[in-house]
Amino acid sequence: MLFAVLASYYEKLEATTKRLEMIDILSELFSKTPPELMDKVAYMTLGEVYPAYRGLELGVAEKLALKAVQRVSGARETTISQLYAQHGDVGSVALILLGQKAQTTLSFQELTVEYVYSSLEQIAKASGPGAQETKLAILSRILSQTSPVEAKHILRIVTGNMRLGVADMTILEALAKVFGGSKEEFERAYNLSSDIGLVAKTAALEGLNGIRDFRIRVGVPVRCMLAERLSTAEEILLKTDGRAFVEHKYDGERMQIHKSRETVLIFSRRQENITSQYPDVVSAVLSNIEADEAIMECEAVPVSLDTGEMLPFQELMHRRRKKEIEKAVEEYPITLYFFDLLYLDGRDLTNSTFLERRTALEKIVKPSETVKLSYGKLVTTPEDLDKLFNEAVELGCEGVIAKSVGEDSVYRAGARGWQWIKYKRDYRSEMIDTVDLVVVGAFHGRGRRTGRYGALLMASYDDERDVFQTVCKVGSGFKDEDLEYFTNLVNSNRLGHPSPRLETVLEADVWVDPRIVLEIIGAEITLSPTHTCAKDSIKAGHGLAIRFPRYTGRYRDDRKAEDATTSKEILEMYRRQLKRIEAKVSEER
Amino acid sequence: MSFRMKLPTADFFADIVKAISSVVDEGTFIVDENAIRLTSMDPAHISLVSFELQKSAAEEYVCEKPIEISVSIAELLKFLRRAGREALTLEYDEEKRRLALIFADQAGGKIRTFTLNALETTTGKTPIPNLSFEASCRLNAAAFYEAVSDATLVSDYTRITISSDAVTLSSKGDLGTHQTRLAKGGTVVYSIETEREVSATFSLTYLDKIVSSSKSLSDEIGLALSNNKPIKLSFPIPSGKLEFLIAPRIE
Repeated sequence: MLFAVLASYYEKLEATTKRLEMIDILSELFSKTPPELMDKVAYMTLGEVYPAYRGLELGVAEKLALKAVQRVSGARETTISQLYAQHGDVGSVALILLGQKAQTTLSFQELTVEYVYSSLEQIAKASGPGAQETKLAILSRILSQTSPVEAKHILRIVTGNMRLGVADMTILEALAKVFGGSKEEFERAYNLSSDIGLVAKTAALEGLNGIRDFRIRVGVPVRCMLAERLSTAEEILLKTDGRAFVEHKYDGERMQIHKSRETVLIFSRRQENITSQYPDVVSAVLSNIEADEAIMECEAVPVSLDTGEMLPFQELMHRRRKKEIEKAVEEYPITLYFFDLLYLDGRDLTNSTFLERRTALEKIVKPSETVKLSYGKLVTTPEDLDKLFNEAVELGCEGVIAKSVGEDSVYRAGARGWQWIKYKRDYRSEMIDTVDLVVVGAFHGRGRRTGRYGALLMASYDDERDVFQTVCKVGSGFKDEDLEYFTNLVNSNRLGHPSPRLETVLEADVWVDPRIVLEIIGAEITLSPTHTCAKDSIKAGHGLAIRFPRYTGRYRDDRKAEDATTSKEILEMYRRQLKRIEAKVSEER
Repeated sequence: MSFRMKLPTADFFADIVKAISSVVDEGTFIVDENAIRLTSMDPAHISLVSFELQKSAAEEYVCEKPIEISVSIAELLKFLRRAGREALTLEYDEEKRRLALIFADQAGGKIRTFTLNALETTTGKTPIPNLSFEASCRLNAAAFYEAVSDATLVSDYTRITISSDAVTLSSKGDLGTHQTRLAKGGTVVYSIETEREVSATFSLTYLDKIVSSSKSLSDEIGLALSNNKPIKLSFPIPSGKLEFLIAPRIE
C-alpha cells in the first residue's frame, strides 16, 4: 500500500469536522487496507507506532522534527522558527518548506506504508548515545523521499499529534462499521487488550469471531474501570441498592500490576509500562503476593520517611527521572493499597462480582509495611458511610469510593459507571469541587501578558457522545512561569479550526487540540447561553458555566482529555448545588 | 579470513576513500570473487557515489564467498591518511567482524597494522537511478575544480552548460556573478559529445565537496548531463570506476 494513499485519507479527515463523515472516511480506509497492514495503519492514524504498554515511544520532539525539516529543505533556521511560531505545527512547516524546495533528490521510489512504518520502528528503537542523531538521520532519509503532503503527516505521526480529530473510539466505531458487529463488541476487545492495532488486525484477519474471542491476558494491560461521582451518602446508597462496599480513596498513582511467576509488570492508568520507575514495587509484589499469575490493581501512595504519613501524590514525580529512581526509592518510599483482582492463576475474574474478587484478593495479599489491602467496609446506612468518609479524610485520603456489591458488580474494563462512585472531600464545602478540564482554545493576552495567552477556553468531556463542551474561560491562578509554559504548550497543539470533537459557541483566538488537562476550581456553576456544557439539560439554549474559575496549579499531565471531568458530572454538581441553595433559602424563610 | 586484497600503493586507496567520504559517513563494501564495490547515497538523497575496483588492480586477491563489509568511512579514512609509499593489504575477518589494514614498506622491513570494527550492516542495497544523458564531455580535472571553487565565491549553486563548443559554469549571487568558459579545442577540454545545448543547476555544497576530495584521483574528469536532470561525474581509475551523481535544483 502506498503511503500517498494513506496520506490522501488523512487529508480528507483533516478537511472535515463532522464525526460521522470521519467514520465514513475511516471505514473506507480500513476496507482498502490489506489485513496485514491494519495494525500499522491504526497506530499511525493515532500518531503512534505501538500500543502504549509496549513502552516504546518514538521520542521525537518538535525540535528534532524541525531539524530534520531544516536538513532536508535547506531552509534557514530563522525561517523555520518563524514559520513554526506562526503555525505551531511541524507538519505545516514541512508542507510549506518542502513545497518550495528547489533541490531535487535522486530518489525515485514511491514510499509504501510498510517502508514508512519500519522506518518509524527504527526511530522508536534507536537508543543509547547517538540515538538523537540516528533518529534525525532516519527521519531526514524519509523526508527526502516524500511529497510535501506525505511529509506533513509523517511529521505529525512522529511527534504524536495528528490533528485529525480522530480518537481511539472513532477508530473502533469505523471498524464496527466495516466488519459488522456492534461498537460495544469492539470496545470490549479494546478494553481488554489496550491495543487498537491488535483489534484492527484481528477484525481484518478473523472477522467478528476474532473480536468476540478477546480474552484478558497477563502482560497485556486491561483498560481501567472508572468511577462516577456523587455528593451525598444518601444518593450513593440509592444508586447501589442500599448496600455498598466503601473503601478509602487514596491519593496516589493507580497501578495495574501483572505478575507472572518471577516477572512483574506495572502499568499506569493510561496503560503505559512504568515498571522501571518502581523497582521497590516489583520486589514487594514478588515477596508479598501469593499467586503464580495475577492481575491486580492498587494505589501507590508516597509516605513520609519521618512520620509514616501519606504524602501528596506529586512526590511520586521524583520517580520520573531515570537517574534518580534509586534515590527516590530511598527517600520517597511508597505503600501499595490493593483494591481489585482481575485475574488469578488461569481464572478471568472480570465477570465475578465485586465481593468475590475482594475475597480472592484478600487471600493472596500478605500484608507488610509496603503491601496493604485498601481499607473498606460493607455499609448500609448513610450515617456509616459519612463516618467512614470522615475517617478517610482525617487519614489524608481524598475521600471514599463506594462500590456496588450486587450481581452487576463485575469489572467493567474501560467503562465509567454507577458500580463505583467517588465521594470526595471537597464536595460539601461552599466552593464547588475541583474539576479537571481540557484546554480547547486560547485568547491573546494584553498588557503584561502581551505575546502570551491571557486566558484559556476550557471544556468538559461528554463521554456519551465523545465530544468536548466549553464550560469556562480561565485566566487567573497562573504564575508567570505557568503562562510561559502553557503558551508554548498551546502553540505546539494549535489547530487551524476548532477540534471536530469540540462544541463551542465562543470564538477563541486560537484553537487547541484537546489534550491538555488542567485542574480548575470555581465559585459556582451557573446557566449560560455562551457555554455548551450539558446544553439544554436544564434550560433550552443554555449550557452550564463555571463562575470565577481559577487554575489550581496542578497540571494533570497524567490524564488524557477523555479522563477529564464529564459534562454529566458538572450537571450533577449543578443540581446538588441548587438543592443546597434551595435548602438555604427555605431555612432563611 | 574471508577476504584479502593487496594493493601496490596505499595512497591510491586512500584517495578513493577520501572521495567516497565526500558523500557518506558510513558505507558498505560489497566484495565478491571479481571486484570490490560500494554504492551509497547521502542521508538527504541528493548525491550518490558508486565505486568499483576489479581484482586485476590487486597484486593479490582472495575472496571465498561474497560478503558485505560495513564500516565507518570517516574512521577508515583516519587510518588511510597515514598511508605513505607503501603496499596496502586489506583483510576482513568475518567471524570477528573486523577489517585489518596492513601497511607494508618492503624495503624498510616495516609493517604497520590497524584494525577497524565493522558496523551492523545497514539495510537494503542502494538502487542506482537509471539515467540516460544527452551530453557528455571530458575535461582537465584541475581546470574544472578551479571553476567550481571560483563559483563558491559568489553563490551557493552554479549552472553547468554543455554546448557543442564549450562547457560553461555560471553563478549569480546577491553581490556578484561568476563565469568560467572552457572552450573546445583548447588544452583543458579533451572532448565534447552533444547534439544540442543542455544545462542544469547544482548545489555547490555537494559539487565542491565531491570535486575537491576527488581531484587527486586522476587528471581527467568526465561530465554527463541532460536538461534539469542529475549530473554524472566520473573519475577514471585503473581497473575500476568512481562515479558520482548529484540531483539538480529546479528553479
